[in-house]
Amino acid sequence: MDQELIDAQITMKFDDMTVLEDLQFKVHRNEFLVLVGPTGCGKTTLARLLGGLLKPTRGHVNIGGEQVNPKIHNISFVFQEPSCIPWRTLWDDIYMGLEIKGVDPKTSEARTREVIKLVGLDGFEAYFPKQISGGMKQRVAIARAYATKPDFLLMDEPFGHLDAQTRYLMQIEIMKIWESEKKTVAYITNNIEEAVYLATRIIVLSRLPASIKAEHHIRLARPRNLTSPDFLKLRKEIAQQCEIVE
Amino acid sequence: MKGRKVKIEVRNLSKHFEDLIVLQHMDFDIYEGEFLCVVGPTGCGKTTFCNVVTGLLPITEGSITMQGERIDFRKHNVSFVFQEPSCIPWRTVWDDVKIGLEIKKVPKQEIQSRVSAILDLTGLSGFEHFFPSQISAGMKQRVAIARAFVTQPDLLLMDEPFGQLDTSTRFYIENQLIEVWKKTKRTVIFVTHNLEEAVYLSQRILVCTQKPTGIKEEVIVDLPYPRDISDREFVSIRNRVTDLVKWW
Repeated sequence: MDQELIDAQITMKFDDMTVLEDLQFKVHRNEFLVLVGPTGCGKTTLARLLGGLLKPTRGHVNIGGEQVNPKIHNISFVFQEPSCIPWRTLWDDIYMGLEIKGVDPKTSEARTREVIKLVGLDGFEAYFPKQISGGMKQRVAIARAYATKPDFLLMDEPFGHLDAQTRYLMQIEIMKIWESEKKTVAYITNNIEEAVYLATRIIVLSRLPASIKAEHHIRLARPRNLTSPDFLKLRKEIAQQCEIVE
Repeated sequence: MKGRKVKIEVRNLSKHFEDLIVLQHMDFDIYEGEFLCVVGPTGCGKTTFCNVVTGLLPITEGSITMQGERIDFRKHNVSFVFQEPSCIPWRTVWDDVKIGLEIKKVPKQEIQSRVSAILDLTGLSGFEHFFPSQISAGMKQRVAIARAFVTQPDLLLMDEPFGQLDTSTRFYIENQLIEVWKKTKRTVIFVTHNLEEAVYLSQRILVCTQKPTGIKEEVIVDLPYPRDISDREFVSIRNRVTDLVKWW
C-alpha cells in the first residue's frame, strides 16, 4: 500500500450518546476505502468527521500530518441527495469548484472538458438539472468532485437513490474513473455487494457506539464478477459481520 | 407451469401515449397463486405495464381478463404496493391496515381477527397504536404489505416496493413477504429493477425488452425457499436474467 494520507483517531459523542468509540484507522494514498456497517451505526457522522465538517469529541483526523480542514485541504464530497444547482447548466455546475479556487479560465475550461468526458456527459454541457436523469445528476456531482483534482474524495452513499440497474452502471463508471485518476477515496455504503465490487479495503463498523469490527483487503481481480464464488463468499462474510441476513 | 390454473390472460396488449408506443403486442398468462416478477431495462415501461394490467390506465389494443372477465380494479379485488411511502399520517398502524376491510364493509369481528393475524405475520404486533411518524421506513412498507394482503386480493401488484429501503431492511422484508405469500397463496405481480431480488422472490420472471416493451423471455425459477444467493443454480439463473436485461 502507498503512504498514509489520513490518520484518524476518533471518539464522537452527541450529548450523552456515544456514536463512535475510539475508532483508529489510516487511509492510504490512492486507495479506495469502503466503510460499511449496520443501518444507523454512524457512517455519515464518520464521513463528516473525515471531511472536517465535524470535529471529534476526542481524538483527531489528520491529513498529511495536519488537522483536516476543508477550507485548507483539497477535499471533495459526493452525497446521496441530488446536489446540482438548478439554475446552472451542467458545464457551469462542474466548472464552479475551479472558479471558487481561482484557477485560471483556460486551465478550468480544459479540466472541465476533461472530466465531462470522463463521466460520459459530453454533448450535455448546456443542459440544466431538470433536463437530465437521476443517474446523470450523480455523474455531474462526481465530475464536479473530480474537477478540482482533490487530495481526498469522500462519497457518502452516492448511488443510494438510484435504481439497481443505474447503480450497476455507475459502479462500473466510478471504477473506471478511479483507475484512470487514482484519487484517495473513502466511500460509505450499506450495500455489501457494492462495497466488495469497489473497494481495495473494507472497514466494517459495529452497531452503536460504532467501533471497528473487521477489516478486509480485497484482492479480487478487476473488473470484478458479482457472481463469482470468491466474490459471493466475501459478500456473505461481510454481510454477516454487518448483521445482514442475505 | 403446466397443469396450473390460469388466473389472468393478457392477449396482444399494446399501450400508446399519442405517438409513443410503450407496450407492444404482449401475450402471457398469470397463474393462480403465482409469484411473478417483471424485470426489464430502466425506463422500459414497467410502471405503465402495472397500471395497464390493473386497469388504472386504459389499454390501446388487446385484452386483459381475469377468469374470463375484463379486469377492473373497481370490480375485482386488486391490491397495490408502491415504492413511495403510502401510510396515512393520521391513522395508527392498526387503523391503516384495516382500511381496505372497512371500505369493503367486512364485519367488525372478522376485521379484528384478520388484522390481528396479518400484523402477526408481518412482524408488526406490538406496534398497533403507533403512527407512521413513529415507525421506520421498513416498517411503513410492512404496513403497506399487511394492508394489501389483509383484503385477500385476487391480484396483488407490487411496483418496486423495496426500491427505497436500505440493503439490510430490504433483505429482511423480502423474507417476510415470502412468508406471507406462502401462507396466503395470493397471486402476486412484483415489478423490480433489481435482478437478484427477482430471482430471490419469484417462481417465474418475465423479462421485458426496451421500448416499445414486449416480452423478451420467460425464465422459470424452480428453486426451494428460502433461497441462497450464492447457490450455484441461483447464480446461474441470475446471470441468465442479467444477460437478457443488460444495457449498462
